[in-house]
Amino acid sequence: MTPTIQFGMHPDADTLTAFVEQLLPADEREQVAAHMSTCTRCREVAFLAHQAGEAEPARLAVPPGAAAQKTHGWRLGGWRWAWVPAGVFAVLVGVATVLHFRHEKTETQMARNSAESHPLQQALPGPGSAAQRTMPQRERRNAPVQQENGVLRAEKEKPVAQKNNLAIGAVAPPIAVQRGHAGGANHSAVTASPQDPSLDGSIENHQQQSENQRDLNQQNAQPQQNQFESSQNPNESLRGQRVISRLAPASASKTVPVETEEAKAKPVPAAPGLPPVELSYSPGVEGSFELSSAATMLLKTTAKIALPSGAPALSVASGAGRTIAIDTSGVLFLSEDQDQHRDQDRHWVRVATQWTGRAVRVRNLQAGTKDAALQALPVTWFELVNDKLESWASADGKTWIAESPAVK
Amino acid sequence: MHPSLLDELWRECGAGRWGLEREQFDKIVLLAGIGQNFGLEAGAKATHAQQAAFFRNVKLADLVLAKACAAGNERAWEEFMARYGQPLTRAAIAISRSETVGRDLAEAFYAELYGLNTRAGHRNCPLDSYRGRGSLLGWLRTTLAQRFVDHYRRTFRLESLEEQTIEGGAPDSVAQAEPSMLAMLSEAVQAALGHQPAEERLLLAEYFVDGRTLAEIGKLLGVHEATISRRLRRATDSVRKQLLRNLKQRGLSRKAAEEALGTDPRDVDLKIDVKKLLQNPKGEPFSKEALANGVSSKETFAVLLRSDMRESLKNPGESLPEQAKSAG
Repeated sequence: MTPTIQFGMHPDADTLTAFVEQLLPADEREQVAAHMSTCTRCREVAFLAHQAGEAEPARLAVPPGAAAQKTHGWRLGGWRWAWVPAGVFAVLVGVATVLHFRHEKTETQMARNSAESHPLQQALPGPGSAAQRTMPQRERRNAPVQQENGVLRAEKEKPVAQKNNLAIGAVAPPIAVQRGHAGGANHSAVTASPQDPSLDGSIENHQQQSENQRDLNQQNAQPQQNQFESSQNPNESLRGQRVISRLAPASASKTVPVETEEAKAKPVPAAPGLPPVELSYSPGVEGSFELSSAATMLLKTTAKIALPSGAPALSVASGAGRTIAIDTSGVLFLSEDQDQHRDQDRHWVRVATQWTGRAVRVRNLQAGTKDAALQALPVTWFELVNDKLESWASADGKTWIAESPAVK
Repeated sequence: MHPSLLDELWRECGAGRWGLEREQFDKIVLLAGIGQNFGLEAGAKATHAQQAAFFRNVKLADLVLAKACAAGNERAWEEFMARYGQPLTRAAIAISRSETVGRDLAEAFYAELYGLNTRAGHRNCPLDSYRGRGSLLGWLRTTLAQRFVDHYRRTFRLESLEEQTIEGGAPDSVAQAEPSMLAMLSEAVQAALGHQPAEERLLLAEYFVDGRTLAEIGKLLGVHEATISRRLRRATDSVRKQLLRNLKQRGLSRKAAEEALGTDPRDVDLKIDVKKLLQNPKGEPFSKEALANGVSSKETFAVLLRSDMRESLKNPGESLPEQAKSAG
């Protein structure tokens, strides 16, 4: 305050503030009120100061004493019981949030694992969701809702996955063998058979119905399709393979834990970039399952191959004395060591990139095919597929031309 | 001061959180206590209990911060700006009811607070005058309001008098009183008001002179507006009765006294200084409603109150009871 203005006449700002804040003792308050009753200036000042305080947020306007009083009133007043429903509500929200994120995490993990999976299984989405196929049986039985959510989620991801080849695995093949992830656990899971009555739930039926509606034109396809066989069939386009595979009965799959010999013998660390290997299976008798011989061989082959890049092999194809491998970074290597029976001793030569995108799969077109035309080809043809589902063909593994004969 | 009291105050104040050192704190507290003599009369010696009671009754944390700022402590200024920078600007805008004027007002006040003004070679920081009787934020708002009102009054005086013409004439129903009657009436009004408690007089002034609403007055005085309404009614009735009694004591009959209440209030204050009247920010001493309804006892009383307030402007330093004494 300016002393010349208030000299001997007006109460100072301290006193006016204390008056406005009701902090003056009674006798002094009387004096200030007496002055203010005759002083327009002080009334105006007090009114403006009080008005400015009211415009301020409550947290600044409330004096500490008043805040303490309010806290006291809250604790002892009738509102104290409001904590009970509020607390219950908070706990429910917390539990729901935790469950939601755990569920989300599981599905995301499944999709990621599948996306990085072996390209051979990318082309054939199975009837069940990724989570359904890879979830241990005990969890699967106890979590029907999650299974359904997983199915729906996988269904939603299908178009995206088909667009981006890396995500194709989100729609996983009917059988999945996983190893080496989650901290290098040797625990593997294989999608199992329909014989278990406990798994003939409505979820699979529902999914089957939706699959059938989506692919009405493929209703006559084989109900059960071995993925490995399908992937080796050059007469079917990748899309066709997926459609056929999806038409397989949903009840034809279930997940059972499997300890693979490879996993037992050679624990694979969860190194970044090492994709979990998923292979198809051959249903056995009375609900027992075993890996198909081709799948087992491929699993062992890709695991044993040591490429010069140091990255693990993603896809391997052999024929006519040549072995072609693609590592996880998309680099293609060729080995022409016909005499080497040990994959570790092979001499690999890197093949210059002659394709676009990232190579994710290579295969021998004639291997395992039933197509007579392909079988009649005089030379062995290899097919390379990139992450955009475009394909190249090569007879020697060195020179690659766009569009494989199979596509033509 | 006893060291244990200083320790206790240091713990309660929490000034160490924003970087004040203990030595500075002790110095500030000691100077603040001695400067106000611990709230006692000059010359009295405060006991330990009185010292403790004094510091319990002041906003110690705010006081220490203000004194540290006034002493030029940079950490204190940082804390001050973090705590009060934005609220002060908002308060200035609320007081001036203008974004531009408010910001200008706040910036000028910041500069003044920071001690840019010097007197005899020393920084003159208004925060040094803060005594912790109310909150520091309240003190800042009050000081801002003082700055604004004083500025308004200064610029108001520069406006031409033609713009301040008082409109409206006395209604026909208002009686034309004799000069002797008017003088008697003026004395009777002042005496009647002098019998009222100070807070009731403040209520009457806020309501009838300043035109505040019941809610505004209630918030300012910290009571409900319904309470203000009851107190106003009681005060009005009391003043009217006292006024009639005073007029009868001066030789008027009851009928003549009641007729005197209908006198044009402007005739009561013919000797008033027009300049002082125009210094009133309200600028309109008589409301049209009061003049139009002069026959109503309540409104007439309101007009009389205003005339009494105008009379008080002649001697701004005196309170109403003193005026009543001198009139008696």
